[in-house]
Amino acid sequence: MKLFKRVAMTLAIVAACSAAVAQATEREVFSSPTQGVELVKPEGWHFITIGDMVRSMEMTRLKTESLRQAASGSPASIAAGVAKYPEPYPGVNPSISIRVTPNTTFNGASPVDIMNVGLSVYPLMFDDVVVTQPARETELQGYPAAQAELTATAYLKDGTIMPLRTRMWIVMRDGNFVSISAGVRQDEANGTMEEVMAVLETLKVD
Amino acid sequence: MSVLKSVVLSAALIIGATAVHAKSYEKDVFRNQTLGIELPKPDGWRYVSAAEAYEEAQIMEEMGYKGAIASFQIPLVSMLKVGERPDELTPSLKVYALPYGPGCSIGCFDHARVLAAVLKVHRDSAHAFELVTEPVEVMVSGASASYGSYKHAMMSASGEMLDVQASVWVIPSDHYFLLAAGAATAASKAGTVADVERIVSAIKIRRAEDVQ
Repeated sequence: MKLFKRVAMTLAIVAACSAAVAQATEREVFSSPTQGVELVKPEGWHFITIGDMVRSMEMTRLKTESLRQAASGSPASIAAGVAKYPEPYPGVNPSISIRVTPNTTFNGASPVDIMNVGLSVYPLMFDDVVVTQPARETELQGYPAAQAELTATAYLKDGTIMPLRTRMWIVMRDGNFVSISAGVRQDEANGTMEEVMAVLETLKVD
Repeated sequence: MSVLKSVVLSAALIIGATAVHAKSYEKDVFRNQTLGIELPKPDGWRYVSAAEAYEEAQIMEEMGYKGAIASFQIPLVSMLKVGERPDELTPSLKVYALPYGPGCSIGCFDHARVLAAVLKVHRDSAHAFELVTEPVEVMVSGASASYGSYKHAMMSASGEMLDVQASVWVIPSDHYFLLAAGAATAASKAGTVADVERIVSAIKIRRAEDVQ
């Protein structure tokens, strides 16, 4: 269960306040053959670095501070992160985060089971959590998957208010699962879910 | 079981089984832009997928290596040299990106101590363990890291006892460290751990000072 929570919380954080130091703004393919994930970062978008993720975590005020360590997640599961704007960015940065996690401890759990654990963690971290789309079974590129969506409000330590909308997938594979999180501002003023989904269209899960 | 111990056990099983399914993307450089790392995949090598790595763990479990599945971790990147036969055990490399742990950062990370702990796990779990290279400081991507090597014996899937040579590196980065483990059977005609060492020596890690 701890692993589930860690994954879920990491997704939440990354979606909440992804930060990206500009690495390159040209179109670039992220390819991780061992993790079995490929994604095209469009021109003008930016890779999120692990340093950005750490800084984002440090800036975020969690409802339950004791969860901070777990919420940081492990670099062992990081595949890729991309965001629309370079960081530091003053607010919710439309972004995608992808992680690959061993499923050895939770054999038998369905993608929906995993998603529901993830959804249960959000209220421990953020305010105003509303599950707008409960976890439902789906399929992603031939793999059994779950999809859900929620809105929430995150607060940075400097008082910045971050109204989030996050769409998530859990994709079950042999011995591991892929966690995908797509986050935007609730009013979509600086980037729409449709834009983020267009980037996700390039995702290949092998 | 700690993440590190899990990974160490998983890395120890690196030569456990030869993966046989070729994958489509065989770029000659592995690059993870989020972690800021890249390393070359030489000609004649191929990537190993997480599913194949898991399959290895399953085979090892069946062969009596208890905990191989429970301790399974997904490498950031895994690759092996392609042999002449599909069942040939060839030089291979696994690289894991691991957290420093609660309250620790690169500033308090002792890579030599971590390598010693890794080698101890291997010493305790490997058959006929023999230390070849005591942990020494090396430079990887312009920064201090630790390296050690050893020999051990292990039974192949066909029941044959094999002499294995293994090399292990612990390489710090800003927000995580790499555990790289390479191995080759002594009798392999496909190559030696020197092939693995060439790959690891070419690892590039982007550090904070590089982007300022």
